[in-house]
Amino acid sequence: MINWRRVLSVMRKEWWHITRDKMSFFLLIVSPMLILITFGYAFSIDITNVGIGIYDQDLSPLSRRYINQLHSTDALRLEAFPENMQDVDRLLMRGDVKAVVIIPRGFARDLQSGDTAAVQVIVDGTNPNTAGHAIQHIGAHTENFAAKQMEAQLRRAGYTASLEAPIDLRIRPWYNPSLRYTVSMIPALVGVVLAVPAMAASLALSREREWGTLEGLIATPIGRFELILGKLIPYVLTGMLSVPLCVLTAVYLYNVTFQGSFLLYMLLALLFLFATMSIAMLISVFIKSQQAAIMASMMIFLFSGFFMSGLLIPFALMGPLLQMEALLLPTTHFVIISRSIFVKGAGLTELRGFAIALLGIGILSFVLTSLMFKKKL
Amino acid sequence: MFYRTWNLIKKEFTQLFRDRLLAPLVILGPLSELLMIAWSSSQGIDHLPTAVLDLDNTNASRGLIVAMENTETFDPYFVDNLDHVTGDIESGRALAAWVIPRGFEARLLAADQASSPVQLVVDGSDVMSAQTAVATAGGLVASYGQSVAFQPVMAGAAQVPLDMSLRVWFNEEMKESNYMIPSELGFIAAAIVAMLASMAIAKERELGTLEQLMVTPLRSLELVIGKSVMAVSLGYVLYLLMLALVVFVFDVPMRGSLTLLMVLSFLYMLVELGWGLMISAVAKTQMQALLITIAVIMVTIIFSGYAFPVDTMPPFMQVISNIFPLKHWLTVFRGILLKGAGIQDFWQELLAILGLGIIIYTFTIILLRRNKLE
Amino acid sequence: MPQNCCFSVDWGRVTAVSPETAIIETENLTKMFKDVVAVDDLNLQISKGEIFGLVGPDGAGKTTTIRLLVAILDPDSGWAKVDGYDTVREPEPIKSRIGYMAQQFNLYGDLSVWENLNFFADVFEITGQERSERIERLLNFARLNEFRDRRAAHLSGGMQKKLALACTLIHTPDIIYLDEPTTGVDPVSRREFWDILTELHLDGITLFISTPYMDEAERCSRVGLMNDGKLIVCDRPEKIKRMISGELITLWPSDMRRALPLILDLDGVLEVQTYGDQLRIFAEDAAEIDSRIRDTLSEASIDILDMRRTQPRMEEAFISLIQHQRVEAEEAAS
Repeated sequence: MINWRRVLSVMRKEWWHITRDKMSFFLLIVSPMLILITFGYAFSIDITNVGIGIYDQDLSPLSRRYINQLHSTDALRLEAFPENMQDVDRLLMRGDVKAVVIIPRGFARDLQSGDTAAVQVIVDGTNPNTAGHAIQHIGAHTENFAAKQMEAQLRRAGYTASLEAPIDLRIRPWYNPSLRYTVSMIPALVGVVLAVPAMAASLALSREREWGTLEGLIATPIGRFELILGKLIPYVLTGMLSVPLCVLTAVYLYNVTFQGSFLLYMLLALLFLFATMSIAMLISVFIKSQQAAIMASMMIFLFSGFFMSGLLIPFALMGPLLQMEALLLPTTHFVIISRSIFVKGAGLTELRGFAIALLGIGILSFVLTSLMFKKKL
Repeated sequence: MFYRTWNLIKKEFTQLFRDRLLAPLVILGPLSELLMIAWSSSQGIDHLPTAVLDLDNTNASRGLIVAMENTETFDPYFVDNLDHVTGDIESGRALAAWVIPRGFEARLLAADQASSPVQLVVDGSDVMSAQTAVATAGGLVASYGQSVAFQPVMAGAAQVPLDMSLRVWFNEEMKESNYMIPSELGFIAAAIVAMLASMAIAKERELGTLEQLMVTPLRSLELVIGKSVMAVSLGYVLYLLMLALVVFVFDVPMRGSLTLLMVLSFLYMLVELGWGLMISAVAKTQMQALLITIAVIMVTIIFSGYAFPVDTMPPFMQVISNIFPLKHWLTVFRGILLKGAGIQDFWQELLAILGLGIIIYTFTIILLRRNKLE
Repeated sequence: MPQNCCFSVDWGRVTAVSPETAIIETENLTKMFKDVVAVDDLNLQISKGEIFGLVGPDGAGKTTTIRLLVAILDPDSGWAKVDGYDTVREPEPIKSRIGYMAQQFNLYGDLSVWENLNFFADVFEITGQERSERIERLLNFARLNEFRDRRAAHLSGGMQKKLALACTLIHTPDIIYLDEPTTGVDPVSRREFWDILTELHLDGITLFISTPYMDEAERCSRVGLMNDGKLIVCDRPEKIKRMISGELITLWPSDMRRALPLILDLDGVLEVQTYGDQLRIFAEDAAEIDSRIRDTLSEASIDILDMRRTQPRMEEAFISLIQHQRVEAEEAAS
């Protein structure tokens, strides 16, 4: 029933539309990679060098030793040395430092006499990540300092116990031995990022509507399936062009090793793109204007893709309702596929289920689109 | 001239609302993004399903498991052999696993210096959970170990010499959402205005209606104003709605002056409008406008401190980040919301925004003049 | 407006067409958009091989009618059949037998002339040798040969229309619908365009054209006048012109404003139409009224710049008919 010559014809025409607008074509292929680079870089930045300030009211050799302890690693950077509370206030308000350690007068005296010395830390809670980091590191260094003092005390009292960690925690990572953030994030990000061409695809039908050419098309004997399939395929192909670019970026720029089969990856990417573009076509049928179509596809591909696909929040931690929604999204499945192939070297047998899911989503959307698209005004 | 401009503005709004799907989507889009950020940033990584293989079965091992449960990071369940452990991790049923070997308690209570090992298995392909598990486990193991091992030694022998008291200023509960949500809002305000403006003008160019309207330079100015007013007013209304949502529903504190915030936000939107206009001067179709805007947004996201703090970036990136108005705006915005900051605290940022705004608009005018009818 | 006017028009009367040769038929065809009735109870029969012209003011419902007949729009009530196929239930066979040239340029601006033609050839499943032959023939036909590689968006208005027409011809349809095909085109191109249409007509193709130009209406086999969604009259051009009884005098007075009421008051004047600086006067007996007009005007010290007898045109007929329909509608409403 389907006239393949017509499908080919529509494909060719759509391909011309895509490629003749050179700027768009270039951006279409390069955007996924661009997003990958920018976000990947951000994810790979570890928090270091958090600036803190020290308000030393004691000014004793012991307090200076404490300050040196704080200084000893890269995690914290001693930025400022305020001399009164107004300074502290200003520093934190402006955000010049993220925390201020206040060493009270009598610090050294208390320590040496065996009393408890108090140290106050004021932390800027605006960014809990940096705050947490600051707290953690200041705390660790303080504890270290305290431990050394305590050891000295105990030795003076005659004990020889060392305060090493009594329980030895051995971490055993299953895959990704160095537990690098990028190894887990980048492959997942590739999955999200390949959906960008889908946003362009969702414009496909809306464009013809706005151009006025759709009216002429529906007055011809062209079939619905033929039209939609013909429009779908060029976008899938465009997406496929981005796949090797993204994989290369992941491997060479971020040093993420690719464990599995590239061929398998491409094959599954094809299914993923098919599913994604079908949904994009569905959007295109429902939504008449290009602007609205863009908004809708952004919501579905970019936002949901980013937050609900398991990229940031592990799938297992989402509530059941959200999990169901996430499963309808092709991105969720491909994120798992991508991670599995990159990190675990998974093969078709393990990923069978996801492949079928993608195929299913694609076919369902495609059929729905064709049925909803009527050749009438 | 004003009459004509007013008419153009009315036409823009009519067109906007006539497209019955566009208006709700323009509102729904940013709203859903905001909700997702709110949800995901309030979603701590906790209650990780954790497989536990306890080969020791003593008071100490059971005590460790209880302590584990108390951290709320781990949601332990029991398995009876190693295969189950690896199997569950592999399949994703468990996000972490503990293996407590036989002799755990014995070694812990022994008088010698050796430490008692315990194994934590984490899924390396999901680093977020893995790192959370590792961090929590580290603290857990240290404090539990000390409480069990050193009780007899420590009693009365010495005191903890150093007491660290912690005070958190601004965002006292250290809610990540209080950081992410304002970032998101600041970002959305910018993006919406830029996107609406750039696409609106590109649409006219694409459909060929631009020619009809761009007859004289004065006319083209009116056209631009018409579209801009639409973009900015829609963006601003949306922004205010979301601000209300954020403060009243998500409990983000609002410590500074509301008036100041509203005025400065408006000014900031005008600057971002400039971005949108600049893009529209270059884009010939809506698709181009979309793709270029995405590219710009991506770059802005990275450099502006929207999700990742600027101070933690390498110095050269920090320098580049100053080109983006969003970076300065986020400091101002977060400052007003969370710190109750005033103009005296961020006047440098305001100046920067103003300066960048002037540069952007100058560029735009040059570009528009060059491209005129293309 | 004189009360007892001379018109004896059967509203909606259609000249008898034998059912065997009717290639387009409609019965009670009605389409509404929200509250507006775009096409009101349309009854039409077009015979094979006709050039049918649909004429009417803006908003009369011509485009909607064409869209209904192309089967890309469904009516709210009534039916339409093209070549025996119902437009609502069997649109696809219709679409392979017709060509449609819409009012707005509906070809692909970023594709070249040749690529557009090629695309539609594919859509209509014209392949191989036949395809290349037809495309060549069409390019010559439409005089677009030297422009075959030029992007459609960069063609002049007239060339774009010709290209659009060529794209409808690629599958040699039996019926072609053209919605205001020459609007916005220069007179020379318009003439060329009609040369092409005449050739098609001579080949036996049925043409259904909507046009705002009266002189084009004269070139059709039959003309239908639409207003406010209703078909007012449908007949051969000569017959329509004869619907205005009386003879026509065209008068250029020096003072139009004062002359008009004076003329209207004269006995024997059937109807007066203003047209720029002319008065078109329909009278029972032109010769007889000539002197009375001169007398009346000179009494009022109005000069006659020119006055002559002319033949009524389609234009006059239509304006009359429309005005009459409005009057009748108002009377019916009150």
